[in-house]
This record gives sequence, C-alpha cells and structure tokens, in this order.
Amino acid sequence: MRATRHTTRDCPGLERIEQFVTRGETDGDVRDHIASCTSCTEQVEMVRENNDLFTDVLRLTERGLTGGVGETATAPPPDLAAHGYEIVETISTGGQGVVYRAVQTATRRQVAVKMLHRSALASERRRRRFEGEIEMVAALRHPNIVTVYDSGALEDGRHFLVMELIDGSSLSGSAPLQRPGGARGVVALIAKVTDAVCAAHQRGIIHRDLKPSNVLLDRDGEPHVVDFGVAKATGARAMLEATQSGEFLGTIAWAAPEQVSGDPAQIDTRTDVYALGMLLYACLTGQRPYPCDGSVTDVIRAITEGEPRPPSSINPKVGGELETIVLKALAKDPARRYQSAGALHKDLHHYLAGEPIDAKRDSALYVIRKTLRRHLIPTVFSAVILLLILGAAIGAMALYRDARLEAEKANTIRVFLEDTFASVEPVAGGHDVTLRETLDEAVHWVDVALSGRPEIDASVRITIGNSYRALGLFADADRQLESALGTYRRVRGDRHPDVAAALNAMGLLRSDQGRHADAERLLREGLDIRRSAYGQESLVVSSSLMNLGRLTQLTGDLNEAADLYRQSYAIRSRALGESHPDSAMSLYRLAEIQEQRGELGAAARTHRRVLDTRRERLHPGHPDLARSQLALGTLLLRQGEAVDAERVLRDGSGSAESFGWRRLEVESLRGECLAALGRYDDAEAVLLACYASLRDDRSPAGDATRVTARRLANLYESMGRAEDAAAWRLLAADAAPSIVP
Amino acid sequence: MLEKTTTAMLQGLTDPDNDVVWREFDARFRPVIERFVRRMGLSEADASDVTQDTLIKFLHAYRAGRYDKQRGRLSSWIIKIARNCACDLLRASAAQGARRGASAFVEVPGENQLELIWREECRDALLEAALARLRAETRTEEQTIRIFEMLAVDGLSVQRVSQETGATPNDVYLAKHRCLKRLRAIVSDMSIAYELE
Repeated sequence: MRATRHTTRDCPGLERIEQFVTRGETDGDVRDHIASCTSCTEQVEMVRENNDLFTDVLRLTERGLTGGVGETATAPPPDLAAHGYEIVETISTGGQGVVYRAVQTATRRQVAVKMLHRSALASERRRRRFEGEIEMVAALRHPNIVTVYDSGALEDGRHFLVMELIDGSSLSGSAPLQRPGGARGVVALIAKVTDAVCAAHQRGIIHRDLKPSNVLLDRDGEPHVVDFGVAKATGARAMLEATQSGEFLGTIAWAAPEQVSGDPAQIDTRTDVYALGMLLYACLTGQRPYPCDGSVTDVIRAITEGEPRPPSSINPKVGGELETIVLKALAKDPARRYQSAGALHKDLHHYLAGEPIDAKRDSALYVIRKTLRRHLIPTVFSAVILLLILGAAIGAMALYRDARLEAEKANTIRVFLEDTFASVEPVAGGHDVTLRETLDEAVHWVDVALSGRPEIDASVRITIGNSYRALGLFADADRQLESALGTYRRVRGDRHPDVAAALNAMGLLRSDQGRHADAERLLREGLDIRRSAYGQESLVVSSSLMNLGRLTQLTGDLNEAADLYRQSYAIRSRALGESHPDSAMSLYRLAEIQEQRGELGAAARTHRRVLDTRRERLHPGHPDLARSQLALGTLLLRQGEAVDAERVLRDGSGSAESFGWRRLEVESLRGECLAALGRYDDAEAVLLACYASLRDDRSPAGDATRVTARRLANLYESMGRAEDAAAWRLLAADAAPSIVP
Repeated sequence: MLEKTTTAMLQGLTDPDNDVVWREFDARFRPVIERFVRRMGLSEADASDVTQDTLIKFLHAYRAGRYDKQRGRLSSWIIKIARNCACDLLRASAAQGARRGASAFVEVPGENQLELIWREECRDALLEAALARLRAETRTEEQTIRIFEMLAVDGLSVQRVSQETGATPNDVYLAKHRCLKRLRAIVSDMSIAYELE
C-alpha cells in the first residue's frame, strides 16, 4: 500500500492515536489509515517518544521531588469498573505495586488484582515486554501456580493483573518449620514449588524473583507461586528503585550470584534453581545462608563469595543428604547446581522416598557412607581402622607450627570423619568392604575434596600411603607418597621439615620394597633436613636415626646400625629419660644388633634392661612387653638357661586368653622351656591350650600356630609318643609345608 | 540559553574570582548530589550538610589541581567525594546509634550501583531543570502548561483534566504532546551538561 498524505480531516485525532499507541486498541479502519498515512505514522512515532519521556516525568513526580502525588497504600483504589472488576479492599502493598481483593462483576468471582506502579513499567519497550510475558504466563495451568486470568492498562498508563485469589498467607509470614512432618514436610512443600517452577520452565518462563513472599499458602497449606513473568518485565531497575524504600536489601538478599553481578545474560533457569535452594534453606532453618544484616556491598559480597552456613549447623534435624541437596542448589557457579528444576525435584523425591540422591552419586564420601551404612557389620573393622588412621593424622598435626593451618587441617579431616561416620546406621547383610577399598575411597575423597589445599592434601596422603604400605600395597603407597613428596617440595621448598616427613615415609616404603639404596638416600636426606631444621637433639631426629638404623641393620651394616641406634638412644634418654618406652625401643634394637653379632651375653643384659623398663612402664598386655619377653626368653633358651627363660616368660604374663596372639607366642615359647626342663605334662597342657587359641584366633598368627604344632611334635618325640609326634608334624606341615623343618 | 559544557565550566572554576561559573556549577550539581546522598540513606538535613561538604571539598581539590581528566570522569570523582562525606556522617551516626543500642552497620551501595544511582539522579535533575525551563518558556500558553501539569504532576486522567478545564480530550492530548515535544528538545539541549550523552 502506497503511503499518502491525507488531509487533517481524514486523520484520526490525537486521542485515537494515543489509544492506538498505548493500548493497541482501535478499529481496523484507524489501523489501516495509520499504516497508509505518513503524517499519522509520524504522529505515532512522536507519541511513542513523548510517552517514554512522560513516564520519566511521572516517575519523577511520584518520587515526590516536584511535589506531585504518588501512589500510596492509602491512596484511593483505582476504578476498574470499565474493565469489569470491583475493588473490595487492599490486600498488600509491595515494591512493584498494590494488590487488591476484587470481584469480577460478570461472574461475581473473587479475584486478586495487582496494580503495578507506573514506574514498574517505565518505558514503552518494557510495557510491550510485560504484555508478551503475561500472555505466556496466562497460558500456564498448574495446581501450584497462581493462575493469571486477565491483564490490562488504565487510562493513566498503569498496568494491572487479574489473578486467582489465594486466601491464606505467604511463606514469609508462616512458620514452615512448624509444619506437620518437620523437615520432610518442608521438603514435600518445596518439592511442589519446584514442580511448579519446572512446569513454567518447560514453557520458557523463568521466574527470576522467587522468594518466600512469592509463595502463597492456601488454607490447606498448599503452595501457590505468584508473579511469574513480572520480574522480567519490570527488570532490574525495580530493584534499584526499591533502594529508596528500603526494600532493596530485602529483595537482593534472595538474589542469585549471577543476578547481583549485573549481567542479565547469565540469568537462566538455574537462577530459579538457586532461588529454590534459598527457599528450602530458609524453610528448614528459618534463616538465610549468609548474614544479611550488613551493607548492600557486604550482602552482595556474601552472595557472590560467601560459603553458605551448613543448614545442619542451624537445624540439626537436617541430615547430610538433605544438606547436600540444599548446598548443591546454592552453588555459586550455575554449572555446579542442579541443571534444571526437574533435576532438583527428582532429588527431593528421592529424599522423600528414602532412595539414594543423585547429588552425591559421584562423591567418594557418599559412596563410603552408603556402603558403610548398607554393610556396617563386616565393615566396622575397616571403618574403625580408617578412623584411627585419620585420627592419628590429626594427632600428628599437633606438631605443625602454623596453628591456623593446623586448625584447618584438623577441621577438614574432622569434617570428613564426621560426614563419613556420623550417620552410619547398622544394616545387616551385604558384601565385605576391605580396608583396601576403604583406603581407595579415602584417596578418591582426597582427590575430590582437597584440591586447592595442597598442605592438607599432602598430609593426608602420607597417612594413606603409610596405611597402604602396612597392607603391602606398595604401588598404591608409592603413588600417594610420591604425590605428597612432590606437593611438599613444591609448596614448602626442598628443605622444609614436611618434606622430611614425606622422605621418611618414602624411605620406609623403598626399604619394604627391598630397594635399599634408594631407601637409604631418602632417609638420609630426611635426617639431614630434620637436623638442620630442629637441631641435633630433636626427638624427630631420633626417629630418623631409628629408621636409618633399621635399614642398615637389614642390609647387614651392623656397626653403622649400632651407631645410629646409640645416637638415637642418647637423644631419647636425655630428652625423655632412660625408662621411657621410646628410649627402650632404641635399646631393644641395639640388643638385636648385639645378638646378631653373637655377643649373646651383652645382648641378654641389654634385653633384660629393656624388659625391666617395659614391665615398669607398659601395661601387661602391651605387644612391646611380649616382644621383649620373647627376645630375652629365646636368647636364654639358646644359651641353655631354660629356668631363667621360663621365669622371664611367665612373669606378668597373666592369663593367656585375655591377650592377643603375641601373648600366645610367649606362652608357646614357655611351653618349649617347660619341655626343655623335662616338665612334659605342663608343657603339653600349655602348648595344647596355645594351639587351640591360635587356631581360633583370626589374627595373622600363622607362624605361631605352626611353631606351636612343631613344638608339640618335638615334645611328643621327647616323650616317646611317635604317632602323636608324626601327627603333629603333619599338622605343622599342613599349615606351611615350606617352613616346617 | 545554551548550557555550558562541563569542560567549559571546569575551565572557569580554576579562577577563584569567577563566582558566576561556580554558582552555575553549584546549581547544576547540588540537586544531583543531594538526591544521590539521600539515596544512600541520609535524612534531608544530613543530605543538605553532606552536599555542602562535597561541593566545598570538590572545589578545593579541583583548584588544588587534583582532578585528572585522564583518570576518570568528573562524575566518578564527585561520586567518590560525596560517598566519602556520606560515609563519614553515616559512620558517626551509626557509632552514636550503637551507643544507644541500635545497629552500627553502615549501608553503602557498591561502586557500580553508585554510578547507576548517579546517572539516574542526573537524569532526574536534568528532567527537573528541563521542566522548570518548560514552565518558564511556556508561560504565555497558560492553559497548555496547566493541562500538562495536571496530567504529569497531579497524575489526573485525561477525562478528569478535560472535565476540569473544559477542553476536549483531543485538546488535552494536544497540550500534553506539545509540551512533551518541547520538553524533549530542552532535555536533549541540556543533557550534555550532565555528561549524560
């Protein structure tokens, strides 16, 4: 159609043009005319631009700066008769507008009418966006979404929404924790809200402003989400405007990190996931995850940087799984949140149904705990061992000089332990989880949880590496210790005592692997670092000396070993006293060297000294005491001093059943002594009792069992009972054919 | 009357005897600063004091040669001064409040928000100045400006204005758009002064 310039008489008046611009309302003739008339098209353009400025003027006057009138709660309600509604009363006033209870004239149906402030839709563009958005929202039908029936604009340009009326209160005004069902009741409630949000997302509508006041509860306690689409239409400006009325803080406290960062492009459905996490948090704890009583800047910093307080620290009834769900929804980085409201909804349902949640599927911690929970009885042993290992790690950290770091380390491990073991509940059945698996999980946990905290990472890896080494899993140990050593060298420098600790652990591993030269190099470097860091007289140095001594003892350099043990003993006896168990251990090793050198008299004297010390300082069941008894008893027996040997072995041994397998070894040796003394009946009784106990005992006492069987065979031979002797020899052979003489 | 650009005004400010330029500067920025600090939570009386403080500090610093155009816009510099003055006062009163048992936190929006608030306040100050000039210019058309003010300032509907003045609705719209067209021209003429271009 060719545009023509009409005479003024043909053109619609400014009134019609204004109506055309503000409400798109006009008959077909006028629309066609405008489209074909240059003058009118120019007029429309002018009216549009003028009106944008006019909204600014209105906003200015509403703010009272030029003495104009504003919209207030006390202002008379608008007249909606022309639109078919009668206002009954004011329900609430808020940042965006005033909500009234109204009646639809034609149907007498009660509805809620929300009058938006003029400033809420301050430009033509925003109005158009609002209208588009509301059209989509009006198509939403969900039992937990407040239905929008109608929308429109008053003559003065103010927009309104007609909605389903919910009689009740909003979530912010209720006490959700008092809901029936406690935490589960809250989860069930938020699950419904989440489902509603999910339904909106599926239609491409993001709420952007989910907060307790936007969740209405009807008389039955059912939630209804309100104000879909409004935040998008009114935009961020409304937030800023609210600064004036003091609402800014209230609004911003619910905002997601990407919302306060001021980049609207980053806002997507995951912004609502965050808000749902906030709702869940608030309902479970009655608080917000961050302190919100500071300045706006503080609040924004808390939202973008602060770690949320764990909900369980406020409400102990919030369990670990629920906490995981909440914290995952609240992740700062949208990529680490649930990727949709649907995923969150699923996990909330898993939680309610008592099923495993998805949030933790991949976490080592979760797997350990779940496994432990399911198979507690067989795993309680592993669990206790792991507890001890990590507990020891905490204890070891007392040595760290950096108190703050130490506290952090201890805390990290404590959290791990608590997380892992606190919620273990006995459930029968299932397969056994070995200590190895438990350690593997611990490694996984370290990989996941300790990245970015190298000192703690290395410290825990040393503990785990040592545990692998103790299990003979050298390759696994190697990986952990190499990693710890590398980390310490990198963050601490080559000469730091932490490096020495790692070198030490590594050296012991190499020694166990039979790589003695490597072991010696590592242990000497560790010793050297410790000497320069702590001084010659340090107890840590004495430990290094002991390790190095053990290695040289193994490789046969007995003079060097004796020298190292002596140095260690000197340090320990000066620092701790001669009768201290640690001093005794140095002396014990020295006695071993003397024995190896064939200095049996000297060895016996040294062993006796050690034994006396240990009797004095250790409780009767201590394995070191048994070790000393065994060493001295064996030595004396070899020297033909069976009476003396028997006395050494008997003294303080108490009842054999009450102690571990080392005590049984002592008893078994005493049986041999008795046999040597010709007290065959006593010997038989002692050895048979020992053998029975050792067979029952599941501890790694295979050697002791075989040795006892052999002693019985020898005894029966001495007694002339050849058949019995042959039978016992077979039993000894059965146990370990290669070892039996 | 053409608005002096901020740059032209700044040149005049260096001359301690040039009272005219200073008064012009004061007239332009005082309302902006005043509203700006009110948005930071100050009472009317406090805002007036802080604004006075800010302007004086600005003038002294400017004359001492401490404004470097390379390092940022004039507005950013004024924002900083105003923010500091406001914070001093807020802190002092918060401390006083704390002694009485009230909250002692000082609430100040972040830098980006302050810039945004400043721009909004500049826009409003500009609009207000423009409205004042519109009134002055349109005095001859008493009825036109009266209709416009009834719509814009009193917030009355077209029907209501039509009833009160006896003008037809179409005339009301005519008056509204005539004023708005003129107002747009004034705003565009003045914007440069507020660094809003």
